[in-house]
Amino acid sequence: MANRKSILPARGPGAFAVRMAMAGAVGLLAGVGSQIFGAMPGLLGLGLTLLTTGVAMGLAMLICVQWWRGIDEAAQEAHKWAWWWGGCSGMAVGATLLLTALVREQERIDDFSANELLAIGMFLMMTCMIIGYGVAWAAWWGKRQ
Amino acid sequence: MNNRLKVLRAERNWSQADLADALGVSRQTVNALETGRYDPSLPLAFKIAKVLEQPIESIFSE
Repeated sequence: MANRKSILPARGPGAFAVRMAMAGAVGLLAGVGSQIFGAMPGLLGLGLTLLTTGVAMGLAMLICVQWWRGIDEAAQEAHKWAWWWGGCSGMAVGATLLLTALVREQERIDDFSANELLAIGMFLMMTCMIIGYGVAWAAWWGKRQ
Repeated sequence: MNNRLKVLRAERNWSQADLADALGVSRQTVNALETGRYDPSLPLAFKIAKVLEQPIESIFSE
């Protein structure tokens, strides 16, 4: 069976940048779609919003799988290690910040709507996890140079 | 785990990039292998043995 050659770069910073851009474009489309369908009333709007977001998440996962298959085993190991140690450490920091805010900043929290609180919580947690992931990934490779 | 990857590569006048291409891995991975800071999986160890045309036990040791 002939090997299918992808026109996209398989590995290296270029491959990562291309996949990130593709995932970003899918996220942008999902955001626009969710805004449009989210404004529709009733079950149809809910269903279409769920469908748009779900399809976008599925596409983003496919992009990730294709990128994952293109990198070698050491690069995969670095990402697995970074996901566990960096992601979990970042989650611990994010959870500490959120729980502290929940207990100590009740008056300020009351100023936000439920939607805003959800978005802020997700953004804070993701930011902490990505920072932890990045630091752990750099540490893994730093120790092996 | 110790290995003779650097010596065997030098004997063939290969750069790290040449060996990386032959193995289908990145140059950084070859560097990590040579410095003993990354132990390869069994499939990669067998591939290294095949590319270098050496028995696996003559490349890797405890």
